[in-house]
Amino acid sequence: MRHEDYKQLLALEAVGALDEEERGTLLGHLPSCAECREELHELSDAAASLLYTVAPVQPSPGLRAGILARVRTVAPSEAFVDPSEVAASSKAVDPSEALGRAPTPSGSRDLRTLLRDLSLWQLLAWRPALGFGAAAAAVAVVLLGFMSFALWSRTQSLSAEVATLSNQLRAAQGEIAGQREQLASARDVDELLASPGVRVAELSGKKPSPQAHAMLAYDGSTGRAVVMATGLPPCPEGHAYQLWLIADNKPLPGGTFKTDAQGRARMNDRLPSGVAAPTFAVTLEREGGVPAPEGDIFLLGTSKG
Amino acid sequence: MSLANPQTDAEDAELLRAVARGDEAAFARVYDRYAPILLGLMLRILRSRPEAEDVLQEVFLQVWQQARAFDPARGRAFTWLATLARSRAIDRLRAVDSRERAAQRSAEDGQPAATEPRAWADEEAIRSERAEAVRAALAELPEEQRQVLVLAYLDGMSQSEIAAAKNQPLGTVKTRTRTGLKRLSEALRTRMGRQFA
Repeated sequence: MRHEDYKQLLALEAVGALDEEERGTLLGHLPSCAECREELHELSDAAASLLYTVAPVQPSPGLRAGILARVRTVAPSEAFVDPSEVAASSKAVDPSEALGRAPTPSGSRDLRTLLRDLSLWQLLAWRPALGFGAAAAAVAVVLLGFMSFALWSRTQSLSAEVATLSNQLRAAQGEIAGQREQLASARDVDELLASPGVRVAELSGKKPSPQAHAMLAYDGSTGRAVVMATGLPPCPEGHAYQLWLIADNKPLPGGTFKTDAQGRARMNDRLPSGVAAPTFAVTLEREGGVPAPEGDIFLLGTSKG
Repeated sequence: MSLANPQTDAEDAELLRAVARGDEAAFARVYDRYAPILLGLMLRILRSRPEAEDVLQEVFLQVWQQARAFDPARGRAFTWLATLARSRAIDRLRAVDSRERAAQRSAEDGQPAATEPRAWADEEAIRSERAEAVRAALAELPEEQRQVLVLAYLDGMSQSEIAAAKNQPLGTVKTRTRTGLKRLSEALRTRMGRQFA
């Protein structure tokens, strides 16, 4: 249904002339349409004003005293909402009865049907004389209505907050992913350092960067290696540092890495295994690495033991 | 149209808030102010004084217990009371004997019941002032629109009942209801400003 179709129903609802299906349709639309709610209020006020065309009738004198006396024995609004009692007593009652409508032949209706049958005002119009169980069932329905409306309003105010939070969440997820990667690599380093066949090499800076320094751990049985470097100059655009394992004067290519802003780098790598007393070198190469070294050597060192 | 009297919608709303807190004096005030007009409606719909007074009693008990559910943001206090009373009365009517009364009502052609009004202290002055304004606003509507509104709202007749009683197509009855209520709303607003309608 379009907005205009709902608007057609407003005046009929205001004079209480909608059938149950139409009322259910309108009731479903109202929480999301401020314009229709406002118009319904205005039309309902106009309809109610028709009461002023009816001649007023003075109630019997005893009626006032009777109602006031009865009210003194009945708890006011406060007793009206007690969720535990609602839960305890709402089962045994046909809810339609509580809402002051004729009970359905089947005697039971599911909640959706029930809600469909109600106008906002009728939700509020239960009959105390039916007893507390019926009242409680009506209260449960009224509460449901209020809750949906409250939830709807809350949703509006929360959506901005949700947007902010999801941005923060995305940032946090990125950070976590980065940290998880670091943690995994640190674990690899721990494992590597703890393995029995591990050898450690100290690599010292060569001519382009004498201040550079690196430690390298290499497990000859698996080929696993980790290199931690400091003091390297930042990589020029399109270039990367590449690790080499030199066995019998032959350089075997390892992985490439870049430094952070402080010239630090750490890389887990897998090099050829089974090399005794290898030498390690780091050169500056084209990004992506090369099969044989072409650039300058920045770091060089031989494993101990 | 002067509404300089302190009896305003805001005051009504404040009274209902006090009732919600269990204020018996505020409750008595609401009763004094609106019981006569609501009983007028009950009598019009139910045509039996004992029944009308019985329903009136139910309605005020309901007001006492549910005043908390009244939300000024969702309409005037008077509209809340009127809707409560109207639906209670119509429920009773349908429970008692719908067919017989519907026939009786349609025969009377939607004319306001000729019940004798009685003075009710100062509330009566305001009430009659408002009644006069509503009548004047209603007088701006074509007769057929006025009739369908009265039959639907004050007599609780369904649109198809009205169509049958008036021997008119259902669509015509619906259109007249819509057009009539919108015009009434506008006429009331012009006459009295937002505080009343």
